[in-house]
Amino acid sequence: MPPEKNHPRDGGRKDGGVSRRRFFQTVGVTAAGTAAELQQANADAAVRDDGPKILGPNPVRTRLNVNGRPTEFVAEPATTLLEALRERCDVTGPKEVCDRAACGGCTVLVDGEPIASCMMLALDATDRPITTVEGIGSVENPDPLQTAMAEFDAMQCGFCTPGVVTATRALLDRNPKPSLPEIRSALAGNLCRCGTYPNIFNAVLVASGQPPVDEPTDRGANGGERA
Amino acid sequence: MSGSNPDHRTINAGQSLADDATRLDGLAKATGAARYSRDHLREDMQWVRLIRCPWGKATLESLDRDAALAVPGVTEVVISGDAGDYDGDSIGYLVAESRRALERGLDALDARWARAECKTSIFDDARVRAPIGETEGDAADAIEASDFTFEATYSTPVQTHSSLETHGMMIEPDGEGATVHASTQGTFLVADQIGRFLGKRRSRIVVDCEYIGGGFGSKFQIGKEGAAAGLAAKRSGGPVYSFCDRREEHLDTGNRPSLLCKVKLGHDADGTIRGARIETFGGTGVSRRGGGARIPSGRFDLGEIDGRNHQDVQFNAGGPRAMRAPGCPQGAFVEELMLDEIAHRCGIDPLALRRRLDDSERRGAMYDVAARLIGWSERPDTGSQDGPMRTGYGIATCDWGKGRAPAKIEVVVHPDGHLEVRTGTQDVGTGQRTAMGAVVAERIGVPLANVSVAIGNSRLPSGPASGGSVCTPSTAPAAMAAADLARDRILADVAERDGLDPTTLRIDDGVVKSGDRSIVRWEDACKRLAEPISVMGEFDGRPNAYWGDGSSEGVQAARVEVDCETGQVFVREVVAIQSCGLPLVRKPAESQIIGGVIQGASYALFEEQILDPATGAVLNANFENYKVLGAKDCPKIIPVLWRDGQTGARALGEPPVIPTAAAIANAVFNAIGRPVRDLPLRPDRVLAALAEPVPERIATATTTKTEVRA
Repeated sequence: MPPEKNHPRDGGRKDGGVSRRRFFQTVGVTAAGTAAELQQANADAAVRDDGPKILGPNPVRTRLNVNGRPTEFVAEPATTLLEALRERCDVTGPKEVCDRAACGGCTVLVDGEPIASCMMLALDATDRPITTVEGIGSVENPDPLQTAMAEFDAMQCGFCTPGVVTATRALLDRNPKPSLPEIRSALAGNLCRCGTYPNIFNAVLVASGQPPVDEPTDRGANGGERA
Repeated sequence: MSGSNPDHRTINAGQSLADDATRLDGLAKATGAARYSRDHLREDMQWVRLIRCPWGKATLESLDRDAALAVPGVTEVVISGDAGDYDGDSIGYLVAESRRALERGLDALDARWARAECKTSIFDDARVRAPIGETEGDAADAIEASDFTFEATYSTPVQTHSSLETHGMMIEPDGEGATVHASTQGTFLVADQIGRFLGKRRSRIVVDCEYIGGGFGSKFQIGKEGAAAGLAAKRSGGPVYSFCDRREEHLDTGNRPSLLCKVKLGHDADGTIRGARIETFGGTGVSRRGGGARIPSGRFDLGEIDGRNHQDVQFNAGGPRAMRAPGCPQGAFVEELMLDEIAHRCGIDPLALRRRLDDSERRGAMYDVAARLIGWSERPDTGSQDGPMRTGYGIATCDWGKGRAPAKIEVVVHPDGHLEVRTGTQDVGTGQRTAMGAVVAERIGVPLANVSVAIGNSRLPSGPASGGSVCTPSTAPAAMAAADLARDRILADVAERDGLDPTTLRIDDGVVKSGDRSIVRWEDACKRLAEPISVMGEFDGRPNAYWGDGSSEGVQAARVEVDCETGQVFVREVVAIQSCGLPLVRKPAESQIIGGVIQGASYALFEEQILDPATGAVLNANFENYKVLGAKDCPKIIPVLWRDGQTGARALGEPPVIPTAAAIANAVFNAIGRPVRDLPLRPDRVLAALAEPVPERIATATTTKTEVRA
């Protein structure tokens, strides 16, 4: 059999198709809104007179505002926001899980909106306020939502928890008293493999001043005597 | 729909050792402070990525090693093979200074493969397609002597563990030694395995796995990604970061193997099962073993069994690894659905049939509670409904053994009253850290706030891997022993100074008391220590006074709705009753049950690895198309901790995942009147089942032998 070209899974990457990251690398064009700022920041940028600003392939100076702290580093333009946070800013709350916005593990807030940081270029987040789970609260000074997550045991391994906390914080910011269906919808993009959703729902309800689902109505169902 | 709508917080009150304790690392996890193995990053580290075959079977035609090495930042290209036997099989690895360089290096390598014929399913094997074989031994006579025979074939898919933190490790060599930040279920297993690749003595290797992003049975071995990390770190002498990406995680880090099961059984009109032949085929990918299924489970009297008919069937895909209750959910699915089919044929309530065939007293009591909580009295007759939305109820069971292993727990009492619990074993999310802290606090008699737990490091006292659900049952007796030693030391000290009889002293909520008289606060008693004292509690793996008694048994009941126009199944509610001896900490224990149910429901409805039959490429190796249960799919779950007077900690991690898919499949059968004998219960399968006639009921008056083929 001849060497295969079109792989059924990735749409023929070797045959001229492009992976997402390769697309980033090849194009290296940022959104128009930030191009002007980047032009200033980027000593290596080749600027074409008649088109969008072209950055890369060489590393460029990148400026992020993470949890209120401005930070600068030099990275390839293809660097995703998730990579920048984890590998350049030592902000490891956002997790790399699927690397394609299918799981929500890397959720951060950009301009207050939850986004999958694996799908945004760091350059596109330049100077926009970025809030990660670390910026929502700390062990010493937790957000009520984080306290409720711990109280209701809304985690097991905890690897999805930073994304869950971030997504639900955004939910509560736009909807202070969400219903259970609204909570489910807001978390539809956040996968938890250990299976803690019911506890997450209760944590969010209680953090928003509502009773947890299924208030106690029955006693003594357990067959055994009291411990 | 369900009658009582109870809440588990009320049901479980008072059933555990520590009812209100909150997971000790809950806030660390909820604030991002918890640093997982994959979060150990350094700017100067080298990145490792395996070079993998993209087809079911292929030989390497060419690659350009020089071109890869010419890529700036690429430091090493190791080629150790020239053929692949499955999608994700590896032929070497690449090392680079950055993630980008790694990716450019792999592109420059430009591996070209010549694809070969491959097997992509167990159905490529004639043994699987063949009809069920002749029954042998006593089972043949028993089937012959029964009023009716029943034959059916069931199947379950390949399920991948899908831990959110992928497999791998970050290694930091340091002169003679090294620190290994591994994502593992076995701190000490990594220490055993990595040295040979790293070229360092085991005693100089420190394994750190304080926070682990899930394992579910797949993280006992360091894997190829770990071996490559070790070799690369040995060569460079510097830090190395080697973690699978999500695709690799689905392809080459194990799975729950598929099952095909053929059954033929003989039963009487009253549901008595006289005998059965059971043939099982495990789809083990390229592995030669590991595909076994636990059927019969032993929970039901199925008469004479001709059941030693298991064969592992190879095909071109990654091999299995232990996955949460290996072999059990697939076996339970077959056995429990089969029972419901028999019950339907005989016109018997499936719950009543189970009561007859299951002689466990504990489950006998659980059946009553499960039936009440789910609202079993509202269960419609199977096949009685029409209309687009139909409701169904199903029930299924589980049990688990009493495995145990040697474990040590150290307790350090500090002069300020702080108790430091030290255990090298890992917390993969079970709540092991909290359980150890709670046992020590409870046993000594001080608030949990006095306790911290150091966990997940090979420098700490040794303990078991998180497998077979033995970890908590083994460490709890060690923790109790350590707590008793620490308490007795402090009490002896108090007794001596105050001239009291130490046997009259106890500690109650942080106060040393003699009878009702308060003697001294715990903190003040500890202040008298000149220096911290350390005691070691040991459990040698043999039952002792701390082992206590208890067993892991469970019953789950599910309520579903089925949309008969789309074939979609909605799991509305699952009641999960589980004994685990003495539950240690209520909330994480409930979470274990809830998590088992969710994984089981996900297995029932969605999960299935799909291979391209033409090429053997895995078509759904990421979360956008390997569907797992999400927030919108999640049923109401009532986890019931069944204490029942038991005194020793027993297995809890694995048993709750066993019955869920079976209970859901039975509920779907009840709703639509036809069994769906293949997992997952996909809409197309539900619609196909609906196109079939409702299975016949056997007229109970009949005495002539009737062959009813299912």
